[in-house]
Parts: sequence; C-alpha cells; structure tokens
Amino acid sequence: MPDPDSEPEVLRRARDGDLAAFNRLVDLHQRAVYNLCLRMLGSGAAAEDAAQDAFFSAYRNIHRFKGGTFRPWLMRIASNACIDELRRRGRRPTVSLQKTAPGSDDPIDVADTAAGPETEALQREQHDTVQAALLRLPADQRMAVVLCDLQGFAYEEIAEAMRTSVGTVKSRIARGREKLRRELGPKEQPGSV
Amino acid sequence: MVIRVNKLLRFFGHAPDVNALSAQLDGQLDAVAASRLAAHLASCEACRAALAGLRETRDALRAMPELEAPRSFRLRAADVEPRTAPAPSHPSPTLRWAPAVSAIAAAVFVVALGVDLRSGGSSSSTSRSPLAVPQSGSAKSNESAGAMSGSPATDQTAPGSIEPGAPAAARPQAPEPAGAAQATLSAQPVQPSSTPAPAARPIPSPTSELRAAAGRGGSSEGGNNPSALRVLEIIAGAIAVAGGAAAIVVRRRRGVGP
Repeated sequence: MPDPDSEPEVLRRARDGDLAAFNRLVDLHQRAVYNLCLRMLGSGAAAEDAAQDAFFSAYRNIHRFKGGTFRPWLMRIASNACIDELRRRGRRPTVSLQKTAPGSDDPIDVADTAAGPETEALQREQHDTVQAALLRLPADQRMAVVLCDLQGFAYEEIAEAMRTSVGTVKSRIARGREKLRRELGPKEQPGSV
Repeated sequence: MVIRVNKLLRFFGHAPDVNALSAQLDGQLDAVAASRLAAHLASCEACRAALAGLRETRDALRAMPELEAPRSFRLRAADVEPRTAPAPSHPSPTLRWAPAVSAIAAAVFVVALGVDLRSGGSSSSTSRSPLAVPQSGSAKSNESAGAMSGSPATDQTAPGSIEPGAPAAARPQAPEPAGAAQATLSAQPVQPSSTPAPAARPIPSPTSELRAAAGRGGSSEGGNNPSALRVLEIIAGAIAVAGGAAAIVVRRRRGVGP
C-alpha cells in the first residue's frame, strides 16, 4: 500500500483535483520557488507575486504533468513566471553600477534579499553585492546559475527545468560564473568568502 | 556532461576554457579529461587563476542564504476553479442561441450589404456613362471656370456641337480623364443616371430623368429601397455583433477549468 504522504501519492491526488494535496506540494516547495523568484527578480514583493502566480499556474496545469520529478517541472513554471515578470517590466532588473562599485557604502536596492536570519554586516554586504551582480546577468544565465549554485540542481534537472540541453546548461553556467567572477573579483578579499 | 579530451585540449591555450573549468568544478568531467586538465593546470598559471576565481564565485553563490518564504503560498478553494468539476452551468437559452442568431444576422447583413453595393454600383456606373460622353457644355463651363483646363474633350468639341437628338454613338468618344469627370460631376449637381441614351432619345432634363427612374417598376433604384436596406444592414450588423459578443462570453465561460 503506497504511503499516502509520499510525494508520488500526493501528486496523484493533486492531479485528481485534490486542493489539499496540492497544498502539501506547496508546503514542500514554496521556499525553493520563492528563493528562485527572489534571486531572479531581486525584489521580495515581486518574488512573492511571481511565486504565487507560479503555484496558481502549477495547479491549473498539473494535469499536464506526465510524471517524473516534480521539482524541475515546478521550477520551470516558476522560471516562466519570473520571465513573464521581467517582460512585464520591459527590461532586466538592474541596479545602479555605482551602488555596487567596490568601496561604495550605498546599500543596493535588494534589501529584501538581505532580510531573514541575522547575519554579520560584512556578509550582508557580500550577499547584496552578489545579488546585484546576479541581476546583471542575462536571464538565461542567471536562471542556470541560480538553479545550479543556489538551488543545488543537477545539470540534467536544470536542462529539464529550462527545456534545453545539458550542453547548453553547462555553457550558461560557465558563462554566468565567468561574468560574476569578473564582477566580484576586484572586491573579493582573500579568504573573505 | 562529459567533455571530450581533444575538445578540451584544443581550447587550452592562453585563454582558459571556462566551460571545462566550470564543468570541472561541478564534477562533470570524465576521469581522463579531469586528469589531463589537472596536468595542464600544473603548468598553466592562467588556468589555475581562472579556476580559483570560478571556485570563489561559486562558493560566494553557495553562501547566499536561502530565505524563508515570507508567507504561505497555499491556494484557497475560493481562489481556484474546481479543475475536476463538470462543465460550468449551461448558459441561459438566450446566450445559448447567441451564436446561431449572430450567424444568421451576419448572413443577412452580408446579403443586404451586397444588394446595397450592387445597386449602388449600378447606379454609379450609369451615372458614369454620361460622363464618359464628352459633355461639351459642362466641360466648357468647367474650362471657363478654370476647373479643368486643357481637357481633350474640350479641345475636340465645340459648345453645342452635339445636338440633343444625336445618337450616343455619334458623339465623339474622346477619352476624358477621371479628373474631368469629377469636375463635370461637381459642376452638375444632379446628373442623369440613365444608361447611354438610346438613339433619338433627347437628353433628359434632370427632373424628368429622376421621374423616369422612380417610375421604373420598383427597381433597386427606387427611392425607398436604399434607405430600407441601410436600416436592415444596421440592424443585422448590430445583432451580429451583439450575438458574437455573447457567443464569446459563453465560450469563455465554458473554457474555464481544465
């Protein structure tokens, strides 16, 4: 007898229209979805909206889920919600280069990303700098880097979430990391990370 | 993803192969490629520096905190349509018949419009006929008024050269530009709408021509039919549009759900 709390069983019930079962899936994945949206959009409010849109969309389309791993499928929907938001804005979210210049004391406008657990001031500054650099990446590279390095997805999962090949994923991750390295490099202090 | 060794080595020059280095960080190189890369790194300062930079970048990314969701994203039943519910309630009978009514009204509209255009086209063609004939009097009057100068018709015909009783075929068939026709039309507010005058038919006066047209057995050129057609077109068009909108509403309501 299948475990009623196992994800496949919950998924089956959710596909049958069981809203309570779907909300179990929401509980399981909402943190990852929210953080993906947060890193992609750089704003807590926009991330909330995109995450909620993603779950609505997932609920409406879960009957199309043909099995396999649910997480990449859900992340694909979340990434689509982020891309929709970016398109709605008409531009990539950008932050002032001056604000992120090494030595600048001005906090970047991603205060929401620094909310949460108490951190040291230096760590917060580093996180803000990394987040600002992430937002300057092209959306496809940003998505690949976030899924790989922040969400811990395997290349194959990223390829599934982004509907592309593993080779393309590898290239996007490499180019994204390289751009980040160039942006973060001058400010990086040895042993600071 | 496995990086081919030869491809890896081909790119290894002075510029580090970022793809290979990044893949190495994620353990995506096979054993052979990884060992060759290690050998290369032992002798290439640039690639070692690039790899170290990529590693630091990756570690900085990994150090980013994963925040708690600020609120629950659970869906409420009130916010979602029941996906497995049967089709939504049937539309009212009026809305149910909206597509058919709209289609019929559209057909009536098209027919009425066609009849209207046809009658309008025939009347325009008949009204054009007299203009194709050099109207020396009118052309001359235009010329004298400065509306059309140098018209070939005015060059070839003299005022009063066409007698009222002359056959149409006997009239000079000099081409007349459309502009001249327009000018003639504007110079003569009421143009005879008859076909080319038959032989021995006197050029009718506008009043007599209209009278004759009105008396032609209730043809489409009758005075009341165009306006009736217009009314019919307007009504049918309005019904078609309203019915179409209602049909769209019905379809959208049906479309909600899975």
